[in-house]
Amino acid sequence: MRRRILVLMFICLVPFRFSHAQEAMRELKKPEPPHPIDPSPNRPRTAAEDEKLKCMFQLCTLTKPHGTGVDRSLHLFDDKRWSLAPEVLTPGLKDGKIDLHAEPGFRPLASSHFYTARDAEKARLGRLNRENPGMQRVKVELQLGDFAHRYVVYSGELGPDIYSGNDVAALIRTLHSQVELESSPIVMEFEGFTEKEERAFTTEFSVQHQLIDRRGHFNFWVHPSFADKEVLSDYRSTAIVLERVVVKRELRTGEREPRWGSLMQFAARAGDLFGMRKLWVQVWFDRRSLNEEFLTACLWPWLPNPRMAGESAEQMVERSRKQLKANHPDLSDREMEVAIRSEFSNTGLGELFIRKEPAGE
Amino acid sequence: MNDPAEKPYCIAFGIPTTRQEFIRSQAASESDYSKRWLGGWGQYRAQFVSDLEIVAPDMEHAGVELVRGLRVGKLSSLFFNRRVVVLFSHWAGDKVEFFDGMASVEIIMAEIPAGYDGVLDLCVCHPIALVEKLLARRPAYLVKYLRQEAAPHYWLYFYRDIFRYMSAQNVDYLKAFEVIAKAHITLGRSSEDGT
Repeated sequence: MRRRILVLMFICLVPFRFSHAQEAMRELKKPEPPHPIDPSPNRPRTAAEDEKLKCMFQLCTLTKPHGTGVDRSLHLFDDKRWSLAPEVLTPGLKDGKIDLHAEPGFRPLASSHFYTARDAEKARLGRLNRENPGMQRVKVELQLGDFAHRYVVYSGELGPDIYSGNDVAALIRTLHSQVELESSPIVMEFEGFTEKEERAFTTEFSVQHQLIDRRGHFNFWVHPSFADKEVLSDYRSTAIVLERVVVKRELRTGEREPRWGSLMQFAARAGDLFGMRKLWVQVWFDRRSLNEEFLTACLWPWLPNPRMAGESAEQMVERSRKQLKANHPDLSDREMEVAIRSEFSNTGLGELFIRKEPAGE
Repeated sequence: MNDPAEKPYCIAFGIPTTRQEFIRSQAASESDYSKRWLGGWGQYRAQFVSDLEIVAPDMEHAGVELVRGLRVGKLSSLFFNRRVVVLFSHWAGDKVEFFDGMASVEIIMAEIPAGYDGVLDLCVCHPIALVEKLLARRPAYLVKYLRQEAAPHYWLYFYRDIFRYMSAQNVDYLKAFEVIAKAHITLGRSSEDGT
């Protein structure tokens, strides 16, 4: 009898709970209203931004927005706000042949995004060449002086340099002007950068966590602003580098203004991935200025950081203290002060100066 | 390793700077430093490696070659055409830790070229035995060292600022060291006065 009562109670309660769960699910599925984005870089991401972030490069279930992606605002590169509409060029497999085509939507990334055959890359480049007969290739060369970096852009033919100087924003602007003038894309390739600098560049640009997973399972792309440091370390150790960037301008049917895009080719240079994996990622903007800004920010790690140029010793030290404090929040100001003084007094610096300037001088 | 002449300064790490190195080091019988981190990689990363990741790009821009996983046999190659070489490692017993094990003072001394006339910065806790023997040779190079145990994460930021200042102002290591140290002291005093 007791058991029957219990069973009856269970039967009565379960539908009630299920209906609650269904309500909760409906609540979850409700689209979130658009909201203004807090510009502070350290604020927690909202669920909507998380979703947008995932959609940037991968895992996406949202449909592609109309226009050129101005509604996909994300905070990238510190406190800058970017409007991105990435397209991933996905090599599909048809009848055993690799068929490369642009996927304008946000389909989930899979390992197929990485070319495993060199023919695939050739096919991609062949198509680009066919579609853009006037396309030019330029080399961006880094020339190291004693302490100053200088960038020289040239077309590989005899003639004046397209750009020479250390202002990467001006470099990018010059290339965009050339694209506008010639109405053809420009392919930027890179010379004179060390492997570390290339890696730093790519690391800044984007991070794929599972690239070193040899089983062929890949996670998703995230911008380093959102990546944790362990992910960055993994990424660095796989030596993924950016091989080339195509700067493009395109007027689509039915639209008045052209859109601007950056098509980037990444390649692995480490271990058994060497020479095997290629990834093309394309980002479109609705304005030239945004594409310029985006590429300038991508090249940031190759530059002496303009934000830090011309800093006084006090400013450098102040920045270091802030970073130290932020990275070790358990450290009190007093503890930090004592530790810094202790570290300096721990050196043989005084003796060092004496040895450097012998008595009598 | 890249061409040693590529950058004028170098910081070479005998202690782990990546997870893989840390794990390898913990398993190696001839290493000491990583075993002191009772909280394992997570603790080590939070207390040291995360700071290195912060300062590394600026250091590289300032002309510093960061050499990770330094093997004792590679030490001599670091000095070629370098104005400053920082050995960032750990002292235990009477030996310095390298990626491939502990090296005695004699082995290390044999690796330092006699003709080197830059700065050798020993960011190693109290390497006094090594310093005494180095100075006894009356070397052409300057030796900077720490008399007691060091807090490595602080030094990463110090070095970042020192090399950046050298690079920006084209001054030598000692001058930059002096300026950065004074800036810290001044800033510390002013914040104390403020509070």
